[in-house]
Amino acid sequence: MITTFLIGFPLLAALFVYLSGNKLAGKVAVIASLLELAAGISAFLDFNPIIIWNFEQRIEWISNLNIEYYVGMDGISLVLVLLTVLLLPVILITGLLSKLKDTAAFYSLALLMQSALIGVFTAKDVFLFYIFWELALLPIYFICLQWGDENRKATTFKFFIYTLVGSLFMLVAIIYLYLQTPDHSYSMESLYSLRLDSIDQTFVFLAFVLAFGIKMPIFPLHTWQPATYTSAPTAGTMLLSGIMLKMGIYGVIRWVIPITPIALESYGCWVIIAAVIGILYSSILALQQQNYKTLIAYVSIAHVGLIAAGVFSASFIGIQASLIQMFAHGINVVGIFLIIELIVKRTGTLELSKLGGLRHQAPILNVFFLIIVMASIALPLTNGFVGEFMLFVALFQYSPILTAIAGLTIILGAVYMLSSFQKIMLGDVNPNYSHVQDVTLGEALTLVPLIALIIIMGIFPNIVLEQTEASVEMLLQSMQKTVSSIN
Amino acid sequence: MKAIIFTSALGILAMISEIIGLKKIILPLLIVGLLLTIGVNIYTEWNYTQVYYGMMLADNYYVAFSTVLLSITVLWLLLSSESYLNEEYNRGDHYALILFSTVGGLLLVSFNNLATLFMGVEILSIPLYILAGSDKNNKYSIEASIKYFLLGSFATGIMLLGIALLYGATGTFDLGLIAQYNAKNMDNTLYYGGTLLLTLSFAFKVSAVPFHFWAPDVYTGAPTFITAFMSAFVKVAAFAGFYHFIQQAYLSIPLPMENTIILLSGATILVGNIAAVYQTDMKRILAFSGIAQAGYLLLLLPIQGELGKSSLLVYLIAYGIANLPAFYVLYKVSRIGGSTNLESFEGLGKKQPILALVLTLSMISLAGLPPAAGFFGKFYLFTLSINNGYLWSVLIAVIGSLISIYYYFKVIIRMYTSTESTTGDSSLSPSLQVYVTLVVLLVSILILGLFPDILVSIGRLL
Repeated sequence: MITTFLIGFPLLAALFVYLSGNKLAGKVAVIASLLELAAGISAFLDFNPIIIWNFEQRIEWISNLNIEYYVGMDGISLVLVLLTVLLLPVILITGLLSKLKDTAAFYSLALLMQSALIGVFTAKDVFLFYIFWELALLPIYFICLQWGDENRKATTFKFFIYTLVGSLFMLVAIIYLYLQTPDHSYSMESLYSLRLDSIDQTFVFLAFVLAFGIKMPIFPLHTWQPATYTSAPTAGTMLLSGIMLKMGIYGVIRWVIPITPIALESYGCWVIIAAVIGILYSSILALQQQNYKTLIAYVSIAHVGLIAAGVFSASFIGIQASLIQMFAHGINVVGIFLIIELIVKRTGTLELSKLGGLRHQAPILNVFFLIIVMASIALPLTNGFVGEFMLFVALFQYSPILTAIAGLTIILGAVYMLSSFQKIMLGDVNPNYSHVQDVTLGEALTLVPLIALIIIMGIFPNIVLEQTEASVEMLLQSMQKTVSSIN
Repeated sequence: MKAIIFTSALGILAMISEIIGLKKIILPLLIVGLLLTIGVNIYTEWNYTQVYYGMMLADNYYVAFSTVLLSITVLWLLLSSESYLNEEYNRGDHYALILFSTVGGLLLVSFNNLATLFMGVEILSIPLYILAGSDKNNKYSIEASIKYFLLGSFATGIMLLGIALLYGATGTFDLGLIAQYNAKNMDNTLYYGGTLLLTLSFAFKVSAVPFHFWAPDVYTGAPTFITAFMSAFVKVAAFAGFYHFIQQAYLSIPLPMENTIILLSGATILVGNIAAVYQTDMKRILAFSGIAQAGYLLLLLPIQGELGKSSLLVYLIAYGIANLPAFYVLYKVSRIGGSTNLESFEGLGKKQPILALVLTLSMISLAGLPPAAGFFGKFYLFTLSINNGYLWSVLIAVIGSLISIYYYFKVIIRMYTSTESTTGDSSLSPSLQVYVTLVVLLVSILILGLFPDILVSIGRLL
């Protein structure tokens, strides 16, 4: 029931927010997202990792085609659902800070998106998964279209077409899988027990990886991403980078690894190579960026590339690492974008050459910013460290050479994050920004929970890892069964 | 049978309404009449298969599709009412022609004899030739009318020749007897010649490539609501009729016909979608979108049996309820902006959020994205086609759908990204009855998209 509540409540709230009019919408939406957060935390407290699937619900939906409303949460789902409910209040408050027009529409779209995202992370029927997958796309498309900057028309269009290319081929693959199941079902259990031959697996694998790879995005499917992140409103970019790209990684873990393990074994290495190239490529590009938002977009490609490499290695540690790293990345990237919003609000620009010396006027902002930067370059005792370390371990087991190349990102990451931090915050007092104020109480209250999570998760990573351990093991067992029954 | 008689009677009533002084109340009268017809039709004919004089077959298929067709006419009457109050049209005559055309559509989903088929096609088309030219002072309207008439009669001629060849081969017009002949003799050139010609003439009616050239010009030239009727009603009637023909005349579809249809489908999907990308006029975009949609639907024709029928029903209803409101918005925009160019849609999201929402949802449904009805229609169609072995055709259809996103969303982008700040424009507000109709349509697009099970079940009973 709690799963359905988590999906349904934002949907109802979206309607309510829209009806409450522009003046009240923001507050109503934030309250709704906090209630949702409370529900998410209560689910977390009730969660029992040993029995794998918690809070299941299964209702017939389109019985003629054997389609069910079938949801539930295992550890993997739980982590991402928690991430979604944690981040949404922050994202909505960012929306409040940036003084958007037509706020009612904006907040209800954001809540709709939350509903769809939680649906994606909890669906156990692949048709339902697909519906939520597409539903998550429409709100963010309209958010980018209506509240983006002047380049929004072209960039959002590119983004939209790109993601649809992937998902339509995925739809064909899903239909194909459905027709292969003996009982003609879309349920996860039926798909997991499929024994496809290696050619079928290859095609299904390609279709899925195209869809998920575009969403993440993996090099060379990433070209939509920097422009879209730059032109979207900050709250939209947070939704995209903080939560939405996790849909792609989640999809790989949930569907690709158990259903097409043979193809993964044969072709997974190419995806990992592409991901490693992407890490290096985007790190180098990040060094050259002048716009801080675009820089973070490239950094995001590098971080996600590493997570993708871990997932495609299909090892226990790789998947565990990717889960904790997804959680950490979500918090860090949303933190950075929140800082970006605060800086834009104060200075009106994100060009690194025009910024500088903000530390003098805004010392508290400086501290917050520094902690988040440290977390995103994976300093020990921040949340970024454990995941990144484990990812390198997983990748090392897979291929030491690739690890060495990907490892350059540790150095490059420090260079671009620290040098951009230096250009924005450090240096002499910039006369243009002498009137800049430090963070207000409200802004600080939004940042503090993120900072707290960064540190708590850095010290106690087991909070996440404990929840997912059994589920990941189960997933890998199911994969092993498929592999051994074919060979 | 009753539906055909009632609808004809309503048509005659509409025609003489101006003489007998019912001009003012003719619209509500017709709507009530049609709704009663729908009710009586379902009540008396459902699950009660009957052949009338060897000419008409009234089975569940007929009941379902005649309900769809009559509903489209009712919705059309409701949506178009504004245009007939505002402009100088002879309402009674228009309504009469529309109803006669509806009768033609009803014949097309029930014929049991090739003579009835021919009558159905003619009764459906001739009123539309007239209506396409009803905007007398507009030369494009006249052009549309003449073009439609010439090409349409040409297609009808081909159909007649096809019927003649079939008669030559089988010695009968009766579909049941033709099906029996078909079961016994599979290799008769005359027979296949007739089949091919009939297929081609149907391909013309559903505007499949390469017989689609009339559609964009006729759609653009004709008055907007006549275009709406053509694109929603005629397409549904022609497809339901085509499917009915294949189902009744062949026990299993002959291979040459199957290959022809699959080939036509691929060409129609690609040409329709690619051509639509280059259009700047919304009416032409919708015309080419109609062609592309016909391409997807062609994939269903070789899939006989209960699943094929239910998929056809779902897809055609989804198509109809997405198309009609789109044309309504088009009409409203052209009333204010003076043209149907894409530029006229600039900033509609701010000027008239409701109209913009209607158009957005219609476009999403036509593009086949969840949660709209069009998504489920397409999904179901793809599932059946892959199951039937048309994986490659489905891949073409998927590529076509991707291209279609471009033009369906082009207008959405226009509506929501205007640079100038415009405020609400009340002159665009729809009247109450239209407003209610639009809300009903929007809700049904969503309901059908999210809970299509009932419709699928009904479709499997046909």
